[in-house]
Amino acid sequence: MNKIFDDILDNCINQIKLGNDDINGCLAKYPEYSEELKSHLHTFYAIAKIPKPIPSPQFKLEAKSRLLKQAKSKKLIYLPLRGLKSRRFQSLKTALIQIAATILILVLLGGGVAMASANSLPNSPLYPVKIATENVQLALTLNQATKAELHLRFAERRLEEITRTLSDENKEEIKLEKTINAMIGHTNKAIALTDKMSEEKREEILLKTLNLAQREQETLQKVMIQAPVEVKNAIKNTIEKTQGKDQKNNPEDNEAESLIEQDKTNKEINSKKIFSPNKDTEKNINSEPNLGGNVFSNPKPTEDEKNNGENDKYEVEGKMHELNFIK
Amino acid sequence: MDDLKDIVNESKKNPQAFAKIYELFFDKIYGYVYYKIGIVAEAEDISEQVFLKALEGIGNFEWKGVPFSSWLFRIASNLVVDYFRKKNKLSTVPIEEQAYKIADNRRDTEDMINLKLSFKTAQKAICKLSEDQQNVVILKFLNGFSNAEIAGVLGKTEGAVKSIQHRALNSLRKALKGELLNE
Repeated sequence: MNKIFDDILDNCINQIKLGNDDINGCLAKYPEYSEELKSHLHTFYAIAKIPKPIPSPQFKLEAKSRLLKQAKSKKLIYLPLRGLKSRRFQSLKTALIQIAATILILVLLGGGVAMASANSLPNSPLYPVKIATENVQLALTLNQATKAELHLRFAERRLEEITRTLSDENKEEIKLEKTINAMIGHTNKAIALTDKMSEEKREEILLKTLNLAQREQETLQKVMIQAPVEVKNAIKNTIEKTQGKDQKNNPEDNEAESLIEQDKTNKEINSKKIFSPNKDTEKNINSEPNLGGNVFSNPKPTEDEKNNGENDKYEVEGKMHELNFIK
Repeated sequence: MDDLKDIVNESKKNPQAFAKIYELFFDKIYGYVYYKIGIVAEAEDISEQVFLKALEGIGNFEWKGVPFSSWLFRIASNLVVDYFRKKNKLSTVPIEEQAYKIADNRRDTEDMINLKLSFKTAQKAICKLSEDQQNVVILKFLNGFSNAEIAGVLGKTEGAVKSIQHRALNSLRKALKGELLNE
């Protein structure tokens, strides 16, 4: 009885909502239930006719702007930068001395060496020249948009180096580890710089960065699948180091040190969760708000997890990618 | 016009496309949250949080029987529940004057006053319903959701939704008697 009435009531409400019928029409259709139906339909009508609250247009615009800002940083950061965040800034004096010294070395070595180093891989003796050349280029570039593009270009180079190193018989795990760090560092620098450029240019840079970040992600997954155990362990160590310890001063990052201050202005990027335990989607969504939470609080696997030999699961770029670390 | 599925899939690849989802759903989410909380500032905050959380989680959303709208409103529903849990508040909260930014063109003072009173009365009555009943009334009567969508939000069957609807109308009829209803 109740179920039948539930269906009838529901049908009447749906028809009235759609404008196909009215209260009297429904009552005529179901005369045996008309009395109860009438009071329920009047109640429904009394509620349904009340105008809906609408948000303040100003708030709606502001909230949209904040959301889009958040969206810009989404997907672009997928590995922790704790070390980068907590490192102390190099003094301007030291930075200038290093730049001057690098320029001097490059001049002494001559342009030919610099050119020859262009295709070098991390295990090549010429590789430091390549990195030094890039650092000088960055240091001498003042325009923020151009600098961001340079970072993207260098991130792209690191990506290519990782791919080439992977196909090499003699894989250099330590170099690969550093190269991955450098790639991520350049990508994030490019993102951080977008706050200091025109809207149009920002869109352009962010689109390029998105594209690059997706390829970086794919390559990192390949690394975790294809690389030998030693390399995987080295990468795992890299990830853990960046989560838990300050990174050592990396020559490749010297130029980046002077830019770290810019990162501070982009707190949302640094504070965004970029590496979190892989949990059930709904659980993630329904749990406490994690926006603006510490990026680095979750990802490191516990000692128990390691000792038990369980695979560590991580969510990268908000997707459910599993990186299975071989013990 | 873009199909919702296309928009959602695009947003997974390009977070900037999420703006379209925001435009499609913000007013509905706000209305839902506002009806449940009754305080503009809090409704605004929670509505914003809903979209930030959705942005975070959209990469994990899968088209597996649950409509996207249900997924989104479930986030809203959980945030509202969290809100009351944290604040240890009852749903019956005073309506602010500012809240009466209602979607109505009528400017006549008397009409506006009547609308405000109706709104306040209805909101109070809705807040006295159970959580599920509130969801059914707000989502179906005020947001135009289908039973399938509501079932997705509540995690129940469509039959259960119809039954909840019946009970909600029973309660509302008693609560509104002599106010919005002239019985």
